[in-house]
Amino acid sequence: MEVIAFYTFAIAIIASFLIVVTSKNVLYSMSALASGMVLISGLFFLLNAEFLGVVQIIVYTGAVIALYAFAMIFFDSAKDVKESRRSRAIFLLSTFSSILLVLLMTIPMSSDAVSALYPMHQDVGNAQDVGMVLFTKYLIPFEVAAVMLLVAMVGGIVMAGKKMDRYLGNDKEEISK
Amino acid sequence: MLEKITIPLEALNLPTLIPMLIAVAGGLTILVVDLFKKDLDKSLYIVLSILFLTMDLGAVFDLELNQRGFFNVMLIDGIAVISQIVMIIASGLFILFAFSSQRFHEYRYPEFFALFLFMTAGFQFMVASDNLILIFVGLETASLSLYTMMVLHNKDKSFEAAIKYFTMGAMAAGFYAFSAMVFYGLTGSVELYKIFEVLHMRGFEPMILVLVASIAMLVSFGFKLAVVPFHTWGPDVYEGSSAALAGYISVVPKVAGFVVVIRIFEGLINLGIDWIEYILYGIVVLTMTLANIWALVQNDVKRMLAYSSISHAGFVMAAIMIGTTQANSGIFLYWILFAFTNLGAFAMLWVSHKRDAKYHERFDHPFEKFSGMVRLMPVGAVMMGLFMITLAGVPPFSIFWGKVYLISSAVNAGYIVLAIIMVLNSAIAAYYYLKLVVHMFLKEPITGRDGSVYMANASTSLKVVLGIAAFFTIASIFFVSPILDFTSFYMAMSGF
Repeated sequence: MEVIAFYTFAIAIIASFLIVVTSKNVLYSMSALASGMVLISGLFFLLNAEFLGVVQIIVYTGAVIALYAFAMIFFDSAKDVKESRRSRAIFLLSTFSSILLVLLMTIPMSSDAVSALYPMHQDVGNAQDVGMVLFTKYLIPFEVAAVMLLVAMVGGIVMAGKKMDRYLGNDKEEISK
Repeated sequence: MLEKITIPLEALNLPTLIPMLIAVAGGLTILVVDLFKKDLDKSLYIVLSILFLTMDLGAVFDLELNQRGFFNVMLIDGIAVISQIVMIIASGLFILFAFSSQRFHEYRYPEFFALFLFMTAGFQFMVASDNLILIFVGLETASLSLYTMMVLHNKDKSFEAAIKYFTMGAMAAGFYAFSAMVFYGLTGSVELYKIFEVLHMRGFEPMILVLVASIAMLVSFGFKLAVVPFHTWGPDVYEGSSAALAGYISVVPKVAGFVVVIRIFEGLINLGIDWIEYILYGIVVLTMTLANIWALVQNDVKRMLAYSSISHAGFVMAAIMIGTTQANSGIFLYWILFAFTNLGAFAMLWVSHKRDAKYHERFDHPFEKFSGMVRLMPVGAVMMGLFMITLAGVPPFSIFWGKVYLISSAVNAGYIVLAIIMVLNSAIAAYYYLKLVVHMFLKEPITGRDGSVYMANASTSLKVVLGIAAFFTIASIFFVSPILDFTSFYMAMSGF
């Protein structure tokens, strides 16, 4: 039963990410990306990692929706895009090499048991477990990630600010070209 | 239910975190000051940055060596301390470049200085850990700040440079994450000492996966350190960002990169994985040689310096590959000497930055700009000439000692061919540095110009920076031995 579910999800994920990279229409790509992200959460649920599954849906799918909005702003989505079918050789080649890569990676990994540094506890939900590790062992990376987000926010606001256009064109004193 | 855990505060070892916290607090202070009072002069922010960097440096000196903190995530060993010292001092000197007499777009933003301090904190986190996750987060914090600071220069070329750097950086981050994932899959840990332990215990089986992970890691840091064949963004980024920031990029981020490469690859080489050594050997030779050959054909001084710093990075990578204690203490010796010389060279470019002055269709600092400089401005020409022959490795100036030390460590470790390649490359490099010297001392000046061009952007603090760089370069013969003792001590403390 689990095996069937796994393969169904796996095939659907690969199919949707293939659409993401091959489609020329940005809205198709975005929708496929969103569905791929949701499908990945299915794998987490299969592995009894409900917490990560939910986070996957909230974080990634939320991010994709923001991307969606940007794609609508930047590209003319009404325009008809012709899907190119010419690069079949590259397509086949890349499929083949990616399958090979996956085989390469997974077969040895599954063959011998690797013990995790922080194994799950049997009788607790994994939200508690993840929280316990996140706020003890990984407290510092977690806080530094907060600084990173602050940096990204400051950077984004500064770059999108009005001052950037005002001085680019007309302030003689500033611009040397 | 999980049982409740209590952690005594002493067990966290808070002092390990103090230097980075000071830098982060500095960045936040600058943001808050800007909130309360708009349009303050940039000099306030520069001084605040220097103040916080000084406190940061003091806190680093105060650290006890060889301790871990915060559940073993923070690691303060010798290499972490010395690299933080080098990075903070170099950052402090480069932020002085902001005291330019002309006004520039980026210095209107208090955020520029806040980002600068966040970036310093990011690099500090990166070197003070052997946890792959913290290294990654620190690296990204620093890189994001750097991209933004590059854009704030606000010219077409700087946008291009930032986008290029961002795309390459994103790719490098992807490779890093991939590599960390494979290491985790192999060993069940993201901590380097544990990874090495498990790999060693299992005799590196399955070899193919260790290969995949190491190559991905190498590609990632190849991009960050701009070693051939991952260097393509380098010269464009140097060209697009201001000379002040280009000088910074050529020194500080690379220190952080070197530290992580030392931690990962020397660990792997010490475990006895031969092919990593062969791959690194190839990269080192390519980086030194090809970057030198490309530098020969550049028409722009800044692009030439970009290729030259790639080639210098190749020298340091050679030391990392050799991996003996002598080579390792040579890494920081070489890089400290290089940092001061490069500081001087980029400061000269920065003081000669003049708006409206057009020397070339495309480049800001073509060689022709410096033609006949000795007649117009003898002191400046002598300074620039000094930095150029120092970069070329002419004795008795600073980089010569670094080169000698690295080459001798190569010979001592039995890498005779590598030593010969290093010597040959120093000879090739002399050609393009001397090209600028020839332009300055032997060509006729372009008519209708006076010497003020070369000092258009100068101010007292920039002259002081130039003076420091020149003094350090000339007098380095007296400093080399103490610096070497210093670096050897710290490297030996961390067991490299």
